[in-house]
Formats: sequence, structure tokens, C-alpha cells
Amino acid sequence: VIPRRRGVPRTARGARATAIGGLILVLLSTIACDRWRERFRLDNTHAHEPAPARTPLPDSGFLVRWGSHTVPLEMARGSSADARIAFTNVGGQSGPTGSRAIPATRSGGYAVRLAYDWTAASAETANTPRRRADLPHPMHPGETMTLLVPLDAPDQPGEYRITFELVQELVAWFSAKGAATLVVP
Amino acid sequence: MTGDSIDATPARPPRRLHVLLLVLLPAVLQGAIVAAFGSRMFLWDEFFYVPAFREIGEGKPWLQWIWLQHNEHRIVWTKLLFLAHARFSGWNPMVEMYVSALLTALIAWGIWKLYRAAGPGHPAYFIPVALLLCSLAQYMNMLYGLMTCHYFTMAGMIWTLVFLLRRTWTALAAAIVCAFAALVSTLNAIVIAPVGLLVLVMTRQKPARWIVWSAAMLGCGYAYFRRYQRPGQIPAFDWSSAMAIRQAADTFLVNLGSPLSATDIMWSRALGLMTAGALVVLWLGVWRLGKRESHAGLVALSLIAVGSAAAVGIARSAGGAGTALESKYVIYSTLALVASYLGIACLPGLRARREILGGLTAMIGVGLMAANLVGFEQARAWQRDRRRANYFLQTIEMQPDDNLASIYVVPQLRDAAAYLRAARLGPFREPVDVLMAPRWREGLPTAPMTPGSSVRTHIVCPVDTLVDVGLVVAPPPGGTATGRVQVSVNAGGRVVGRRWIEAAGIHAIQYIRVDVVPPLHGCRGADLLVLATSDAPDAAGAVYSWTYPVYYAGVTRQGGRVIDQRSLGVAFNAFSYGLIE
Repeated sequence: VIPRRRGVPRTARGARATAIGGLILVLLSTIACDRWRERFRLDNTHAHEPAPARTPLPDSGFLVRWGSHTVPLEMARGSSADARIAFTNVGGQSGPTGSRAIPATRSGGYAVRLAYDWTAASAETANTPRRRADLPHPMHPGETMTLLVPLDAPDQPGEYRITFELVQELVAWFSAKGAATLVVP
Repeated sequence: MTGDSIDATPARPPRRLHVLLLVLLPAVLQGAIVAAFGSRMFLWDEFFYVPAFREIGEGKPWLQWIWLQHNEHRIVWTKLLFLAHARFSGWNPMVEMYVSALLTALIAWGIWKLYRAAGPGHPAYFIPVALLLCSLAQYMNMLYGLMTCHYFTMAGMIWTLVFLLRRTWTALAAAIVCAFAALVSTLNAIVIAPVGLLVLVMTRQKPARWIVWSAAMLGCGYAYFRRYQRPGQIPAFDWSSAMAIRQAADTFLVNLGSPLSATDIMWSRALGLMTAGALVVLWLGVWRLGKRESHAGLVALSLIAVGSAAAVGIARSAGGAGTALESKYVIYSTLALVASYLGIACLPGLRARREILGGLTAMIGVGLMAANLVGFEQARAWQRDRRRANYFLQTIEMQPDDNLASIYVVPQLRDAAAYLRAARLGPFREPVDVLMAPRWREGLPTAPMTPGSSVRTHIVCPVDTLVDVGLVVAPPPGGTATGRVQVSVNAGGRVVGRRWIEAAGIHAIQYIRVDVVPPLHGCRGADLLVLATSDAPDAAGAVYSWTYPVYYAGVTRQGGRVIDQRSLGVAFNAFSYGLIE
């Protein structure tokens, strides 16, 4: 049988018990204090966003700011080039991408995509963009994304402009909701 | 290490340094295992506590989370622990794993005290015990933060026994506190109530102390089970069914043998029988040699193991006897071996004691080697799975539900991931720098790769540091590929990686690995070109690559023609991260 440890004075045992109790109290009070809670609080700039749903974006979601691009100003007939297009989601929502769109819809219903096309420089209005580029993942509010898009020079020589804009398939063009388009040149 | 040489040594108090080393050995080894195989990734049940942090951050009351049931357990200390360290560590489950290692030292120290109480046994007998306590057969307990709850339970129960052996009222109070602490960790500790009473009886303590202990345990039980809800996933045991009882007995036996069986169920049965035999020898020896007082602690330890194995047999046998081999149950059944080994070592008058000890030492030695070898492989697989799950979680918005179902309930997981990412907690504290095709089920083959139709993809680099690139290739359907395939990676106008392989060696869809030497730092956003060419003379013998729904920014062309709105099957850093072997 383990003998009682007579060598340890009562005061030392008391101190040990107080230390253990104190440690638990410090633990609990640390958890309870406001500074501790701060670590787990999300402010408005890091608002908790639910996963992008397969639904139309609210009007506040149809906002984009265009950044730099590498669209060539001249292209030889029949040639092709890859252009980098950068843009930022300045809306308050993440949009669904092709991967979160309705799979049964061939057009990728509700997916947000980059649309682009050439228009003759002499035309008064831009053609409705036919080409599409998928976003690899949903854009969070404030996020900037750079896409590569393949450009094929028009068959007919001449002056053209190319228009880029975002679209939520089967819902709306971003420009129809007031967002800017990127027109080069 | 048989009894001869050790017992020839005159009994003298062991040196403090030796004791310290013996007690710290399992903790140090366990810490090393955590350092080698641990991961920040949460495992299933841990996601359950994400809403707790969210509510705390919103200033809502949080105390109810502490007492909330977790299946049949309450895991109070584990919850307090991760609530306490989360602010500083960003809720890193590795902290809990290291705490488990520290608790192993506390457990070893408690067992050492029970061993010394049983008699002047040689310290060398404690070496196998120290190794058993940190055996890789328990890899899951060691590498899963939430499993700290079992270490709290074990430490609580063992120190309850240590205090019960002291005959003071203060020690009895300490024993009650330890028992309650163990009980509020996991329900497994309920066994300490009758076992503790047995210790008081065996050590012939005053009946008043029996009464106080019993009353205290009833009080603890009442507090625990007040408003207790029986978990739905545990089926009630059918005591009227002979088949169910036989299966429970089998599960019991398998669990007893599990620490050394290297997950082999037949070996586990055999080892379970041997362990049961050793226990019987211990109990009979203690009884016949009149060592009830000195050996009360070790006998109690053995009964904890038997009680736990019985509980596993009754509660988990419906899932098959193999359930008892699960790493999380090994921690308790290990005590059966520990108690019988140390107990017999301290029974000098036992007939054939040296032979029995020699046999047990050999069994533990060989079993530990086998269990650690298998446990090592399991720990590696565990780490690989954790890494894969970590990658899936951090790229959750690109992942289909199929890839996430094994991590947690998908809708809750998506919600939890959004919070964890925004708060930079848990796995999101250290973003993974790896990417591969998430929707691999939606893959489509390219055209055959021939000299005139090589595949070229222009990519906006999606990782910070590029270490390796993998390209998916497949042999021609029903045929053998011919020629050689070259994959090259270009960045900034120069080749940063290149690999040739014989196409005949491609028998199934696989990745060709191209190492980028030296690694390309600051790669994110830069232009990369991945070019795959083949000198196969005709399409019939040419290899294919595959494309997937877009998962990185890039343009893929084959033979000059754009493959629209698809990404070539390129994996970034997947080899070095361990997603592909």
C-alpha cells in the first residue's frame, strides 16, 4: 500500500491544490473574457458567406470592376492569342460557377461566366457575346480573378472592338443590371 | 528479459532518473509520432463544434456546449481544452494531440505508482509497459485531437486508484474528484465506481469510507445521467439471443487481444485468450498468496480493462468483432496486459512465475513489433487521408458533394468551411498550396496524342510555389501505347521541368510526374506552359490525356485547336503534398 507521503508538508499540499484550482479558474476566465471571444467574431468585411447557391444573384451581386488585360491591339488574320483578363467582384455576393450550376442545363443555368465577342468598329451597338469562359471557382466579394481566354482573329480584315462582360446564365447580363463592360480598344 | 537476471538484482529503490525516464518515454515517443504523422485537419466529430465558436464570437452563451452530450459521453475536458487553446493556436488539433502525449506521461506515472505499491518489482519490467502505452496500435487515439477525451478518462481512473490506496480522507476526496473528472470525460469511466469499491474492500479500509465512496459515485452518476439522452445510433443489446451473447463474447476476446494483434482478428482472438489466461493467473495468484492489499491497484487496473472490453463487446458487437480492433478501444484493453504483467512480476511466490513472465515478455515483444509495423502503415495511411481531406476542405467550393461525403455531413460542412475560412481557424490557418481536378468523374479524353496533335495548355499558375506538375495520361482503349511521351513545363520563357517516359509502360490512366527543380517560388499568377508530345507513329498506338470541367484559369489546345471550356488534367504539387503516390 502506498504510504501517505509524510515528507510533503500540509502547506505544500495546500499550495498544490490551490495551484490546480487556480489553473482551472484561469482557464475558464480566459475562455469567458471578451478579448478571447474577439478571435471568433467575424466583422462585416469578413462576413460569413454561405456556399453559393443555385439561385439568381440579388441585384447587389451584379457588380464588377475590370482590371488589367493583355488583349493585343493588332492580330493577323487567322491568328490566335491568349489574353489575360482581370476583374474584381465588387458586389456583396459570391456567384455560383459552372461547377455549382444546374448540371441538367446545358447552358449551365445560374453559373456566372465571362462572355466575350468581337464587334466591327463601325457598328453602333456591340454584338451579344457568344464566347464563354468558365470561372474556376466562385468569386468572393472583393476577390480579383485573372482568366485566360483564347482569342481568334476575325476572318475578315478590318477594325474591331472586343467586348467582355459577365453573365449569370439564364438570369441576366451584368451590364443589364448596371455593371460595367470591358471594351477593347 | 526473463525473470532470472532481473530478479537476481537485489531489491533497492529505483533511481529517480530511471523512473523519470520510464514515465516520460511513452510521452516522448507519442509526441514524436504526433510530430511525424499529425495533421491540422479536423476529423468528422470535430466539425460538430464549429457552431460553438461562431456563437461565442457572436457573444452568445457558450457554457451549454461544455456539458452537451457527445454520443454517450460529455468530453468536458477536451472541450475546455480546445476552447482554451483555440484563440492562440487558431484551433489547431495538434495541440490536443500533444496534450494526449502529456497525459500519457501522467498515466504512466500512475501505473508506476500502482506497480510500486504491489511490491519491489524491478524497474526493467516497466519498459514493455511504457512501450505498450505508446504503441502505434493506438495511432488513431494519438492522431485525433478529440481522442484526448480517452486520455483524460484513463488518467482520471488510474489516479483514482492511486489515491484510493492511500488511507486518508483527503486522498479519498482526491479519488472522488479524479473519478468524476474521468466520468465527465467519457462514460467508459463508469466502471471505476465498482472497481474503486473493490479496491477499498481489498485494502480493508473502514466501512465508512466504502459508504462515502459509494454515495459519491451515486451522486456523480446522478449528475451525469440527469437529462441524459440515449444516443440513437447504439442499438440495445438483446440479452435473450444466444447468438448476440456469443458475438459479444467474441468481441470481448478480440478486444482483449487487440493491443498486440496487428489488426489480425484471428491473432487477436488467440492473444485475447492468452491475456485472459494471464489475468486468471494474476487473480488466482493474488488470492492464494494473500496479496490482496498490495495488488489491489493492479487488480483494479485489470478489471478496468475487462470492464471496458465487456462494454465494447456488449455495445459494439453488432458491428462485428472486427470493431473491437479499432485503435480507439486499444487504450483500455492495453491495461489488461499491463496489469497482468506487472502484477505477476510482483508475485515472487507464484509457481512457474519466471516461465510465465518470460512467455509474456516474448508475447509482448513480438506483438509490439508486429503492432507497431502495422500501426506505422496505418498512421501513414491516416496522414494521407487527412491531407486529402484537408485539400478537399480548402477547395470545397470546387468540390462536388461526392468528394466531401466522407469528411462530414455535406451541407453543414460547406457552412462550417465558410466560417472557418473567414475566421482562419483550424485547417484554414495554413492554406494548402495544391490543386488537382476536383470533378474527375466528369473527365473526357482528348484526341490521341501524335506528333501532329500534341497537347499544349497555357495556365495562370494557381499555386504560390510550384514543386511538381502531374499530367493525366491514358493508354489507347484496348491496345498498347507505343513511342515515347514527353511532358515539359515552361515558365518565363524557359523550361523548368521535363520528363520522358516510354508509352508502353502506361497501362492505365495515371499521372506523369514532372518535378520542377528548383521549385518555382512566386508562381501564383505567372504564365505557365505545359506541353505534352508523343512520337507515336499513328493514332491507334497513341496515348491520350484527359480534360475536366474548368478548375484553373487556362487555355488548352490540341493540334492548334482550342478545347473550349475544359481544363487539361494537370495536377499542381499533388505529388509533393501526397495526394498522388
